[in-house]
Amino acid sequence: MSRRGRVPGLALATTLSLLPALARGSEAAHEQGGIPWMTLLFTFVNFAIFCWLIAHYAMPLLRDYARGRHDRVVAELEAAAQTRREAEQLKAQWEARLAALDKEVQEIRAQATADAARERDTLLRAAAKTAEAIRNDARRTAAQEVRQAEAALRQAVVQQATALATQLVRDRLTPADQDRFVGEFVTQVRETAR
Amino acid sequence: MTTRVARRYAKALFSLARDAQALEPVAAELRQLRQAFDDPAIAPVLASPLMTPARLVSLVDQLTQHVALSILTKNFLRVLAENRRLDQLVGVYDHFEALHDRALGRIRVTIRSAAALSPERQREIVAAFEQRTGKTVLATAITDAALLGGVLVEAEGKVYDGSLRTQLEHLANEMAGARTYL
Repeated sequence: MSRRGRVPGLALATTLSLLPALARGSEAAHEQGGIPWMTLLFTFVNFAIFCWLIAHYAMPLLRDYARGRHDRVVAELEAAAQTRREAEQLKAQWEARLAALDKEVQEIRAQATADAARERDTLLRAAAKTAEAIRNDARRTAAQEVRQAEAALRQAVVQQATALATQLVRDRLTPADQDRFVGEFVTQVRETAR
Repeated sequence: MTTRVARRYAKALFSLARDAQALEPVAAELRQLRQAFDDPAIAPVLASPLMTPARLVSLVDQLTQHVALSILTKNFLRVLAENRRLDQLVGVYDHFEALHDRALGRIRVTIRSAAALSPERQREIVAAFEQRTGKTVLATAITDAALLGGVLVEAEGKVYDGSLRTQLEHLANEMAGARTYL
Protein backbone atom coordinates (compact mmCIF):
# COMPACT_ATOMS: atom_id res chain seq x y z
CA MET A 1 0.00 0.00 0.00
CA SER A 2 1.30 3.48 -0.87
CA ARG A 3 2.03 6.13 1.65
CA ARG A 4 -0.86 8.10 0.33
CA GLY A 5 -3.18 5.17 0.99
CA ARG A 6 -1.76 4.42 4.47
CA VAL A 7 -2.28 7.87 5.99
CA PRO A 8 -6.05 7.99 5.50
CA GLY A 9 -6.23 4.34 6.74
CA LEU A 10 -4.44 5.20 10.00
CA ALA A 11 -6.55 8.25 10.44
CA LEU A 12 -9.65 6.18 9.89
CA ALA A 13 -8.54 3.44 12.36
CA THR A 14 -7.64 5.99 15.04
CA THR A 15 -10.88 7.76 14.59
CA LEU A 16 -12.86 4.54 14.81
CA SER A 17 -11.02 3.41 18.02
CA LEU A 18 -11.85 6.70 19.63
CA LEU A 19 -15.48 6.58 18.60
CA PRO A 20 -16.94 4.91 21.82
CA ALA A 21 -15.20 7.35 24.14
CA LEU A 22 -16.06 10.24 21.97
CA ALA A 23 -19.69 9.05 21.84
CA ARG A 24 -19.99 8.89 25.58
CA GLY A 25 -18.33 12.25 25.99
CA SER A 26 -20.49 13.79 23.34
CA GLU A 27 -23.70 12.51 24.93
CA ALA A 28 -22.67 13.78 28.31
CA ALA A 29 -21.61 17.08 26.89
CA HIS A 30 -24.76 17.41 24.93
CA GLU A 31 -26.82 16.61 27.90
CA GLN A 32 -24.95 19.25 29.83
CA GLY A 33 -25.39 21.78 27.01
CA GLY A 34 -21.79 21.55 25.59
CA ILE A 35 -20.28 21.04 22.10
CA PRO A 36 -21.79 18.14 20.03
CA TRP A 37 -18.57 16.31 19.49
CA MET A 38 -20.13 13.20 17.98
CA THR A 39 -21.88 15.11 15.30
CA LEU A 40 -18.69 16.89 14.45
CA LEU A 41 -16.83 13.62 14.44
CA PHE A 42 -19.23 11.88 12.12
CA THR A 43 -19.20 14.82 9.83
CA PHE A 44 -15.43 14.82 9.87
CA VAL A 45 -15.31 11.05 9.24
CA ASN A 46 -17.76 11.32 6.40
CA PHE A 47 -15.71 14.06 4.90
CA ALA A 48 -12.53 12.03 5.33
CA ILE A 49 -14.09 9.00 3.62
CA PHE A 50 -15.29 11.20 0.82
CA CYS A 51 -11.83 12.65 0.42
CA TRP A 52 -10.26 9.21 0.42
CA LEU A 53 -12.72 7.93 -2.20
CA ILE A 54 -12.06 10.92 -4.35
CA ALA A 55 -8.31 10.58 -3.94
CA HIS A 56 -8.30 6.83 -4.44
CA TYR A 57 -10.69 6.42 -7.40
CA ALA A 58 -11.43 9.67 -9.11
CA MET A 59 -8.08 11.35 -9.02
CA PRO A 60 -6.17 8.72 -11.08
CA LEU A 61 -8.81 8.85 -13.79
CA LEU A 62 -8.74 12.59 -13.85
CA ARG A 63 -4.98 12.57 -13.79
CA ASP A 64 -4.76 10.10 -16.71
CA TYR A 65 -7.32 12.01 -18.69
CA ALA A 66 -5.47 15.24 -18.15
CA ARG A 67 -2.14 13.68 -19.03
CA GLY A 68 -3.50 12.09 -22.23
CA ARG A 69 -5.10 15.31 -23.24
CA HIS A 70 -1.86 17.10 -22.59
CA ASP A 71 0.05 14.62 -24.75
CA ARG A 72 -2.47 14.91 -27.57
CA VAL A 73 -2.36 18.63 -27.48
CA VAL A 74 1.44 18.58 -27.53
CA ALA A 75 1.47 16.10 -30.45
CA GLU A 76 -1.04 18.13 -32.40
CA LEU A 77 0.94 21.25 -31.75
CA GLU A 78 4.10 19.54 -33.00
CA ALA A 79 2.30 18.21 -36.10
CA ALA A 80 0.88 21.62 -36.78
CA ALA A 81 4.33 23.13 -36.39
CA GLN A 82 5.79 20.52 -38.77
CA THR A 83 3.04 21.16 -41.30
CA ARG A 84 3.66 24.82 -41.01
CA ARG A 85 7.38 24.36 -41.55
CA GLU A 86 6.72 22.23 -44.64
CA ALA A 87 4.24 24.76 -45.96
CA GLU A 88 6.72 27.51 -45.44
CA GLN A 89 9.42 25.48 -47.16
CA LEU A 90 7.09 24.76 -50.09
CA LYS A 91 6.15 28.37 -50.23
CA ALA A 92 9.81 29.33 -50.31
CA GLN A 93 10.44 26.88 -53.12
CA TRP A 94 7.54 28.16 -55.18
CA GLU A 95 8.61 31.71 -54.57
CA ALA A 96 12.08 30.80 -55.75
CA ARG A 97 10.66 29.07 -58.83
CA LEU A 98 8.39 31.96 -59.59
CA ALA A 99 11.33 34.26 -59.27
CA ALA A 100 13.31 32.07 -61.74
CA LEU A 101 10.31 31.45 -64.01
CA ASP A 102 11.01 34.27 -66.40
CA LYS A 103 14.55 33.19 -66.84
CA GLU A 104 13.47 29.59 -67.33
CA VAL A 105 10.87 30.62 -69.91
CA GLN A 106 13.51 32.55 -71.78
CA GLU A 107 15.87 29.61 -71.69
CA ILE A 108 13.15 27.22 -72.92
CA ARG A 109 12.27 29.62 -75.68
CA ALA A 110 15.91 29.96 -76.71
CA GLN A 111 16.38 26.21 -76.60
CA ALA A 112 13.22 25.64 -78.66
CA THR A 113 14.39 28.21 -81.20
CA ALA A 114 17.80 26.58 -81.44
CA ASP A 115 16.23 23.12 -81.77
CA ALA A 116 13.91 24.34 -84.50
CA ALA A 117 16.79 25.93 -86.37
CA ARG A 118 18.84 22.77 -86.06
CA GLU A 119 15.93 20.64 -87.21
CA ARG A 120 15.33 22.96 -90.15
CA ASP A 121 18.98 22.72 -91.17
CA THR A 122 18.86 18.92 -90.88
CA LEU A 123 15.72 18.75 -93.00
CA LEU A 124 17.22 21.09 -95.57
CA ARG A 125 20.39 19.03 -95.78
CA ALA A 126 18.38 15.80 -96.12
CA ALA A 127 16.19 17.35 -98.78
CA ALA A 128 19.25 18.58 -100.68
CA LYS A 129 20.83 15.15 -100.43
CA THR A 130 17.65 13.45 -101.66
CA ALA A 131 17.34 15.92 -104.50
CA GLU A 132 20.95 15.27 -105.49
CA ALA A 133 20.37 11.51 -105.37
CA ILE A 134 17.28 11.88 -107.53
CA ARG A 135 19.24 14.01 -109.98
CA ASN A 136 22.05 11.44 -110.08
CA ASP A 137 19.56 8.62 -110.60
CA ALA A 138 17.93 10.53 -113.39
CA ARG A 139 21.32 11.17 -114.97
CA ARG A 140 22.29 7.52 -114.67
CA THR A 141 18.96 6.37 -116.06
CA ALA A 142 19.24 8.76 -118.96
CA ALA A 143 22.82 7.70 -119.62
CA GLN A 144 21.80 4.05 -119.42
CA GLU A 145 18.98 4.59 -121.88
CA VAL A 146 21.31 6.42 -124.20
CA ARG A 147 23.79 3.54 -123.96
CA GLN A 148 21.07 1.00 -124.62
CA ALA A 149 19.78 2.93 -127.58
CA GLU A 150 23.33 3.32 -128.83
CA ALA A 151 23.99 -0.40 -128.40
CA ALA A 152 20.75 -1.32 -130.16
CA LEU A 153 21.57 1.04 -133.00
CA ARG A 154 25.11 -0.28 -133.20
CA GLN A 155 23.83 -3.87 -133.18
CA ALA A 156 21.42 -3.12 -136.00
CA VAL A 157 24.16 -1.43 -138.00
CA VAL A 158 26.55 -4.32 -137.35
CA GLN A 159 23.94 -6.86 -138.41
CA GLN A 160 23.29 -4.96 -141.57
CA ALA A 161 26.99 -4.58 -142.27
CA THR A 162 27.64 -8.25 -141.56
CA ALA A 163 24.79 -9.31 -143.80
CA LEU A 164 26.07 -7.05 -146.56
CA ALA A 165 29.63 -8.29 -146.14
CA THR A 166 28.48 -11.92 -146.17
CA GLN A 167 26.51 -11.34 -149.33
CA LEU A 168 29.45 -9.54 -150.94
CA VAL A 169 31.79 -12.39 -150.05
CA ARG A 170 29.39 -14.96 -151.46
CA ASP A 171 28.93 -12.95 -154.65
CA ARG A 172 32.47 -11.90 -155.30
CA LEU A 173 34.74 -14.48 -153.73
CA THR A 174 36.66 -16.19 -156.50
CA PRO A 175 38.49 -19.52 -156.44
CA ALA A 176 41.69 -17.55 -156.54
CA ASP A 177 40.66 -15.69 -153.37
CA GLN A 178 39.81 -18.97 -151.68
CA ASP A 179 43.14 -20.41 -152.70
CA ARG A 180 44.88 -17.34 -151.35
CA PHE A 181 43.07 -17.68 -148.02
CA VAL A 182 44.12 -21.33 -147.75
CA GLY A 183 47.69 -20.40 -148.61
CA GLU A 184 47.70 -17.71 -145.91
CA PHE A 185 46.27 -20.21 -143.42
CA VAL A 186 49.01 -22.72 -144.23
CA THR A 187 51.62 -20.03 -143.83
CA GLN A 188 50.22 -19.01 -140.44
CA VAL A 189 50.15 -22.63 -139.23
CA ARG A 190 53.75 -23.10 -140.28
CA GLU A 191 54.86 -19.84 -138.70
CA THR A 192 53.21 -20.63 -135.40
CA ALA A 193 54.77 -24.11 -135.47
CA ARG A 194 58.27 -22.62 -135.34
CA MET B 1 31.58 -40.07 -127.28
CA THR B 2 33.23 -43.13 -125.83
CA THR B 3 32.12 -44.45 -122.48
CA ARG B 4 34.36 -45.81 -119.78
CA VAL B 5 33.16 -49.34 -120.58
CA ALA B 6 33.96 -48.88 -124.27
CA ARG B 7 37.42 -47.59 -123.42
CA ARG B 8 38.08 -50.58 -121.19
CA TYR B 9 37.09 -53.07 -123.91
CA ALA B 10 39.05 -51.09 -126.50
CA LYS B 11 42.20 -51.18 -124.35
CA ALA B 12 41.86 -54.92 -123.87
CA LEU B 13 41.37 -55.56 -127.60
CA PHE B 14 44.21 -53.18 -128.48
CA SER B 15 46.55 -55.00 -126.11
CA LEU B 16 45.66 -58.38 -127.59
CA ALA B 17 45.96 -57.14 -131.20
CA ARG B 18 49.31 -55.51 -130.50
CA ASP B 19 50.61 -58.71 -128.95
CA ALA B 20 49.36 -60.62 -132.00
CA GLN B 21 50.87 -57.92 -134.26
CA ALA B 22 47.47 -57.56 -135.89
CA LEU B 23 46.64 -53.96 -135.18
CA GLU B 24 45.94 -52.97 -138.77
CA PRO B 25 43.71 -55.99 -139.64
CA VAL B 26 41.76 -55.71 -136.41
CA ALA B 27 41.29 -51.96 -136.97
CA ALA B 28 40.04 -52.60 -140.49
CA GLU B 29 37.64 -55.31 -139.27
CA LEU B 30 36.36 -53.05 -136.50
CA ARG B 31 35.79 -50.32 -139.07
CA GLN B 32 33.67 -52.70 -141.13
CA LEU B 33 31.76 -53.89 -138.07
CA ARG B 34 31.22 -50.32 -136.91
CA GLN B 35 29.51 -49.46 -140.18
CA ALA B 36 27.39 -52.60 -139.97
CA PHE B 37 26.45 -52.21 -136.30
CA ASP B 38 25.76 -48.50 -136.72
CA ASP B 39 22.93 -49.45 -139.10
CA PRO B 40 19.62 -48.07 -137.72
CA ALA B 41 18.02 -51.46 -138.34
CA ILE B 42 20.62 -53.40 -136.35
CA ALA B 43 21.54 -51.09 -133.46
CA PRO B 44 18.12 -51.28 -131.68
CA VAL B 45 18.17 -55.08 -131.87
CA LEU B 46 21.62 -55.25 -130.26
CA ALA B 47 20.55 -52.94 -127.46
CA SER B 48 17.18 -54.61 -126.88
CA PRO B 49 16.66 -55.95 -123.33
CA LEU B 50 14.63 -58.81 -124.83
CA MET B 51 17.77 -60.30 -126.35
CA THR B 52 19.42 -62.82 -124.07
CA PRO B 53 23.21 -63.21 -124.18
CA ALA B 54 22.81 -66.61 -125.88
CA ARG B 55 20.63 -65.13 -128.60
CA LEU B 56 23.07 -62.25 -129.06
CA VAL B 57 25.95 -64.67 -129.46
CA SER B 58 23.92 -66.62 -131.99
CA LEU B 59 23.11 -63.42 -133.84
CA VAL B 60 26.77 -62.40 -133.92
CA ASP B 61 27.73 -65.80 -135.28
CA GLN B 62 25.17 -65.48 -138.05
CA LEU B 63 26.24 -61.94 -138.89
CA THR B 64 29.94 -62.79 -139.05
CA GLN B 65 29.45 -66.09 -140.81
CA HIS B 66 29.83 -64.57 -144.24
CA VAL B 67 32.45 -61.99 -143.30
CA ALA B 68 36.09 -62.80 -143.18
CA LEU B 69 37.09 -61.88 -139.62
CA SER B 70 40.10 -62.84 -137.59
CA ILE B 71 39.66 -65.21 -134.66
CA LEU B 72 40.57 -62.36 -132.32
CA THR B 73 37.81 -60.12 -133.63
CA LYS B 74 35.25 -62.92 -133.65
CA ASN B 75 36.04 -63.86 -130.06
CA PHE B 76 35.92 -60.23 -129.05
CA LEU B 77 32.46 -59.87 -130.56
CA ARG B 78 31.28 -62.99 -128.70
CA VAL B 79 32.60 -61.57 -125.44
CA LEU B 80 30.72 -58.33 -126.11
CA ALA B 81 27.57 -60.34 -126.86
CA GLU B 82 27.87 -62.48 -123.72
CA ASN B 83 28.28 -59.36 -121.62
CA ARG B 84 25.50 -57.52 -123.45
CA ARG B 85 27.93 -54.81 -124.57
CA LEU B 86 27.42 -54.96 -128.31
CA ASP B 87 25.90 -51.49 -128.19
CA GLN B 88 29.36 -50.22 -127.15
CA LEU B 89 31.02 -51.35 -130.37
CA VAL B 90 31.06 -47.88 -131.94
CA GLY B 91 32.76 -46.44 -128.87
CA VAL B 92 35.17 -49.37 -128.79
CA TYR B 93 36.15 -48.69 -132.38
CA ASP B 94 36.67 -44.96 -131.78
CA HIS B 95 38.90 -45.54 -128.79
CA PHE B 96 40.73 -48.39 -130.50
CA GLU B 97 41.50 -46.05 -133.39
CA ALA B 98 42.74 -43.41 -130.97
CA LEU B 99 45.01 -45.93 -129.25
CA HIS B 100 46.16 -47.19 -132.64
CA ASP B 101 46.93 -43.69 -133.85
CA ARG B 102 48.81 -42.88 -130.65
CA ALA B 103 50.82 -46.07 -130.97
CA LEU B 104 51.72 -45.24 -134.55
CA GLY B 105 52.38 -41.58 -133.81
CA ARG B 106 49.67 -40.20 -136.02
CA ILE B 107 46.73 -37.88 -135.59
CA ARG B 108 43.46 -37.42 -137.40
CA VAL B 109 42.47 -33.99 -138.57
CA THR B 110 39.30 -32.74 -140.19
CA ILE B 111 39.79 -30.05 -142.79
CA ARG B 112 36.71 -27.95 -143.53
CA SER B 113 36.87 -25.54 -146.42
CA ALA B 114 34.36 -23.28 -148.12
CA ALA B 115 35.20 -24.81 -151.49
CA ALA B 116 36.77 -28.12 -152.43
CA LEU B 117 40.52 -28.10 -151.86
CA SER B 118 42.96 -28.96 -154.56
CA PRO B 119 45.14 -31.99 -153.76
CA GLU B 120 48.15 -29.71 -153.54
CA ARG B 121 46.54 -27.41 -150.99
CA GLN B 122 45.36 -30.41 -148.96
CA ARG B 123 48.89 -31.82 -148.95
CA GLU B 124 50.23 -28.44 -147.86
CA ILE B 125 47.79 -28.36 -144.95
CA VAL B 126 48.69 -31.91 -143.95
CA ALA B 127 52.37 -31.10 -144.18
CA ALA B 128 51.90 -27.96 -142.11
CA PHE B 129 50.19 -29.90 -139.35
CA GLU B 130 52.74 -32.70 -139.51
CA GLN B 131 55.38 -30.07 -139.03
CA ARG B 132 53.41 -28.50 -136.22
CA THR B 133 52.60 -31.72 -134.31
CA GLY B 134 55.53 -33.88 -135.31
CA LYS B 135 53.09 -36.69 -136.09
CA THR B 136 51.67 -38.33 -139.17
CA VAL B 137 48.43 -36.67 -140.14
CA LEU B 138 45.40 -38.55 -141.45
CA ALA B 139 43.16 -35.92 -142.96
CA THR B 140 39.48 -35.95 -143.72
CA ALA B 141 38.37 -33.13 -146.00
CA ILE B 142 34.87 -31.70 -145.79
CA THR B 143 33.38 -28.92 -147.89
CA ASP B 144 31.36 -26.46 -145.80
CA ALA B 145 29.93 -23.47 -147.72
CA ALA B 146 28.86 -21.83 -144.42
CA LEU B 147 32.51 -20.91 -143.85
CA LEU B 148 32.16 -18.40 -146.74
CA GLY B 149 35.87 -18.63 -147.46
CA GLY B 150 39.12 -19.92 -146.05
CA VAL B 151 39.65 -23.12 -144.11
CA LEU B 152 39.07 -24.55 -140.62
CA VAL B 153 41.03 -27.49 -139.23
CA GLU B 154 40.16 -29.61 -136.18
CA ALA B 155 43.15 -31.48 -134.77
CA GLU B 156 43.75 -33.07 -131.37
CA GLY B 157 40.76 -31.35 -129.84
CA LYS B 158 41.79 -27.92 -131.08
CA VAL B 159 40.27 -25.75 -133.80
CA TYR B 160 42.51 -23.77 -136.15
CA ASP B 161 40.12 -21.33 -137.71
CA GLY B 162 41.08 -19.47 -140.89
CA SER B 163 37.54 -19.05 -142.18
CA LEU B 164 36.03 -15.81 -143.44
CA ARG B 165 32.89 -16.49 -141.42
CA THR B 166 34.82 -16.32 -138.17
CA GLN B 167 36.74 -13.24 -139.26
CA LEU B 168 33.47 -11.52 -140.07
CA GLU B 169 32.12 -12.55 -136.67
CA HIS B 170 35.18 -11.08 -134.98
CA LEU B 171 34.77 -7.90 -136.97
CA ALA B 172 31.09 -7.70 -136.02
CA ASN B 173 31.93 -8.27 -132.36
CA GLU B 174 34.55 -5.53 -132.44
CA MET B 175 32.12 -3.15 -134.09
CA ALA B 176 29.40 -3.99 -131.57
CA GLY B 177 31.77 -3.61 -128.62
CA ALA B 178 33.49 -0.44 -129.76
CA ARG B 179 32.75 2.74 -127.77
CA THR B 180 31.68 5.97 -129.38
CA TYR B 181 31.77 9.38 -127.78
CA LEU B 182 28.84 11.56 -128.68
